[in-house]
Amino acid sequence: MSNTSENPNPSSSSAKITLKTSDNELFEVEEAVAMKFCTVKQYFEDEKDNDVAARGSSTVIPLPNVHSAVLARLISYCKKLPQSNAVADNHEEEETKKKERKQYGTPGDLVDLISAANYLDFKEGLEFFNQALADHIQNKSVEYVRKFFGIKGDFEPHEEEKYREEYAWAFEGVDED
Amino acid sequence: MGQAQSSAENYEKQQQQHQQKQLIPGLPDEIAMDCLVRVPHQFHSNMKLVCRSWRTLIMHPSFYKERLRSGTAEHMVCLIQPLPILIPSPPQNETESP
Repeated sequence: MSNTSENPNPSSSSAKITLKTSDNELFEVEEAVAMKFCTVKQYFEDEKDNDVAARGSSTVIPLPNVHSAVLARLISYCKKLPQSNAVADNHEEEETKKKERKQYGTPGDLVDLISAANYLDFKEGLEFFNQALADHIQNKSVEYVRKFFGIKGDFEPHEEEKYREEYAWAFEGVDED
Repeated sequence: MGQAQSSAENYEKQQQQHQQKQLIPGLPDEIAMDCLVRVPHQFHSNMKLVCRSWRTLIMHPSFYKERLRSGTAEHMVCLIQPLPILIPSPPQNETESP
């Protein structure tokens, strides 16, 4: 299996940029995709200023904070971007987007994706994954949220009981998981 | 060597402690904040029970301001219905009449 992302449109001869992840995997991506990551763009422009751009795609941009598994998912998200980024103007579209966001797995995965999107300064991605994370908190029990984000409940037992009583009605009808 | 190891352990411990203090472990607080403000108001009562830092954040006026700023704040309609008081109140000397 190769990690090199394939160009879906072979006739286009757009420039490729090579990204190197924290686990030393090389990703060759189209320039248009790579430029969505502002950190990469900045790096690339700095290189240009240094007159090294002549080396073109042979320039390898290191991403020491991004794991290959995460980068692969970000790139696949990037490629779907044009159609998925349309503003949802009705309920049905919002539902479709919600389903799309659900595909990105557990909150743990999302935390990794968000960290990477933040490091890469990838704004659309950050917005999308932040919303996906927010979707995960909705309608979930307190225990679920704690478990999935690795947060420790730090209330005194009597405090927690008091607060829970205050909002007893709020815990009806939360999702099982 | 031993010292280096212990300092590495210390660093790890510090990282762990630092993560425990973050709103969402593993994310910078301003990013976590951006996630949390997106959750609709109806789930806030539940979120307030997750931990102290979430409770403090959600109850703080700046959280609402952040929701306004990011356009995630919602319009709400509140209905308030007075309930008849069932506990007999002690006889009052003062009446409403002048």
